[in-house]
Amino acid sequence: MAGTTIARDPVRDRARRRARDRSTRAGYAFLSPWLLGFFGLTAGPMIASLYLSFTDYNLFTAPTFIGFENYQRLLTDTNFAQAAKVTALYVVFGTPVKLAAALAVAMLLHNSRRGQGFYRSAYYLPSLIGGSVSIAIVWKAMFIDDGIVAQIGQVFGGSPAADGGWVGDPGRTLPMLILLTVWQFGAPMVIFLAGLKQVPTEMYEAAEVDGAGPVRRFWNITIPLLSPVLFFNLLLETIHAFQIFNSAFIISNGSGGPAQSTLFYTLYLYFRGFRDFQMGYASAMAWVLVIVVGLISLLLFRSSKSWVHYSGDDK
Amino acid sequence: MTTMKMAAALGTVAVLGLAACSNGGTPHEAATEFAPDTEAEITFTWWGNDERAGWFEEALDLFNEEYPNVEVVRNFNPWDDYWTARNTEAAGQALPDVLMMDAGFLGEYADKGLFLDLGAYQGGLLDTGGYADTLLESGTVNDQLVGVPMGYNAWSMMYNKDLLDELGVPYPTDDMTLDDLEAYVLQVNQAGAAHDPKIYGASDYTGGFPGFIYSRMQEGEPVFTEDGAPAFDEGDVVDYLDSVADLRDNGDFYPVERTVALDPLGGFLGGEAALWFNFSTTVAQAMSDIGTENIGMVQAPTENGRHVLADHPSMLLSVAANSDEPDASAVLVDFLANSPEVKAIFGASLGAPPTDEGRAAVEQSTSDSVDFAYLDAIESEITESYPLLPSGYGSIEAKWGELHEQLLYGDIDTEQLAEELFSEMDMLLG
Repeated sequence: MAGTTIARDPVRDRARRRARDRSTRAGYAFLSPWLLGFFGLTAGPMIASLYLSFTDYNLFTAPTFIGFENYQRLLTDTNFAQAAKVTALYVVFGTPVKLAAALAVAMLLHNSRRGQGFYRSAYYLPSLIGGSVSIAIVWKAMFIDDGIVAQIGQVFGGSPAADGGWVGDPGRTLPMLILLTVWQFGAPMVIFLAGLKQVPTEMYEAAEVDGAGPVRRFWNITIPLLSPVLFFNLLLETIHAFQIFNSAFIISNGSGGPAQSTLFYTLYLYFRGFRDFQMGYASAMAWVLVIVVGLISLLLFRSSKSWVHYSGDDK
Repeated sequence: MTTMKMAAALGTVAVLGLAACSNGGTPHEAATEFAPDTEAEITFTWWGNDERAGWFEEALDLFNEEYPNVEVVRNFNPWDDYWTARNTEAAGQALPDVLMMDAGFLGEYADKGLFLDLGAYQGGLLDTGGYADTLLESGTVNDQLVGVPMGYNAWSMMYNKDLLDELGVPYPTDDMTLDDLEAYVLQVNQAGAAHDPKIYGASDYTGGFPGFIYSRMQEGEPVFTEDGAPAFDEGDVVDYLDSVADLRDNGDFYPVERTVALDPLGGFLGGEAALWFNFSTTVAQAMSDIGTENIGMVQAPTENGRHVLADHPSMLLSVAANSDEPDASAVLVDFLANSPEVKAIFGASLGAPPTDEGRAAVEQSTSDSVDFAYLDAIESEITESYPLLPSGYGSIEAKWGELHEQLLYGDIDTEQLAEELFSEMDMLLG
């Protein structure tokens, strides 16, 4: 210890420190636009909304502090329960089906020799436009009683759609929206495709020599080696699914209907905040969502230790 | 990112809210004269589309011909943004001098002391001589005239003449009772059963809050108390909804599944149901959506076939309490409210002009003439003012619609509907 202190050259040290300070300052200067945006537009408002969630606030009058009342009200709010249920169903069914579709198509594309670029673009396209207002409108038109879905169904012997088709049937609106999100499998598909290209072909060849069939190869080679990509896609798509808003808003004309069957969490939050001007309550709802999404992400990360294998990992 | 955006929006609102501070207005002596060459600058805001903006430009040009030194700084937003912007300004005591108001928000703003009492200008700079008392009362809150209606309309029953002619069913009359209405619906259903698509008498007409208000009015009962609480109980709502229980339970109304699928059109506007209940101005929308000019209009049926009707203000002009130029603002309100030239520009797009002179100046389209003829026909029956709507009314009306949809799908019964409506009103009006 004492030796190193003596060996130090104070002048050189100071110069080094100054240089380091300078580059730190430059770093922050380059970061500043993002930092400004983060503190001004993200962190600040988030803290403000945390405070508002403990208040009664209607935009007109100053917020009054009411402690945990907003959070208590959530427990007895039947609409909140309905919104949570609809959203949970959407996440639980929509996400796995979407990922399965993405993986299946990615594997087909991976094996195809010709036109891969074309098919990749074609399948990716829906995820670029799928969240848009126009697609939601087209989707709605497809599923009403004399829409294309009912017509095709009849050709194959399906019973004629009842009045209103899928759109008017509360039991079928959620499946309709899940189909819409599944159709947008392009983004996870491209990521899967990149992941598949990383799997060494020798492994498949070796397994084939050892007599492993295609199913065995899929479960014992593809899935383990693809697991980091799978985990990434699962996390992203789960969080994404919690935030569904546009398509539900358009298809139900902003009502969450029919009969609350598309009353997604964010839609209900929007009603409370911007229709009923109950900003305090809406803020509490926003924070519950943040916490739930956070917890689920945490669970996924925890679980990933047992099923995600990174190459070079000994486990 | 929706959560983040939402949080950002909430925060922005919070920051703006904190910037608000109240300042007591200095009492102002209302002038009785306003020289045409007086210099002033006032701000004026309305909601609407580009077409309406063009009309306001024309109207304000006319105003400046008369008062060349009053500069009117204009601004307009679409309906939703309009209220976000006004709410923020209201919080900061920075409302524009003159602004367009809606009946559903008037009480809320007036209760907070945001408006000037225009009563002080009546008979002076503001001429309301041509206005019906019942209509002026709908702009009066706490005995102060805070809104001058630019137009009005009334509750009505519209019918599609093309459909009824085709089915050979006679038109409905202006003296029908509720029992007659029920029989009439069944008559249309029967005649329209073989039609493709099937034609119905009507959609369930207990599906909107205005219909309930109309029904209360017939009984001489108020809808809201002076301090904005409901003046009815759950039993009243249940009785009202159960009055058509037979039709509803037997599937005699236009199917809700199809209403949802056709939304925002529904049975009548989609040309598949004969009757529609709405404010008379909406006949213009009906004609354009259905694509026919053959729409008739009579009073909506009541228990005994006689009617109590009310002027429903469609747009009101208010002057902000924080205005620095109250006199010039009152002059602008007077001009927009009374000038026949202004009425000629807008036609009936802001509702029927309230004064005879104003209505005479309008070059009537087909829908205008149906609307005006109806308003003339019911003039002696307009004995009430439209009830003053409490703050939060808009949400209650929306909630009624949502719950009614659940009722039609059989998810809840009428008692549950009433119960949920009241728990909602408890929160919104409390």
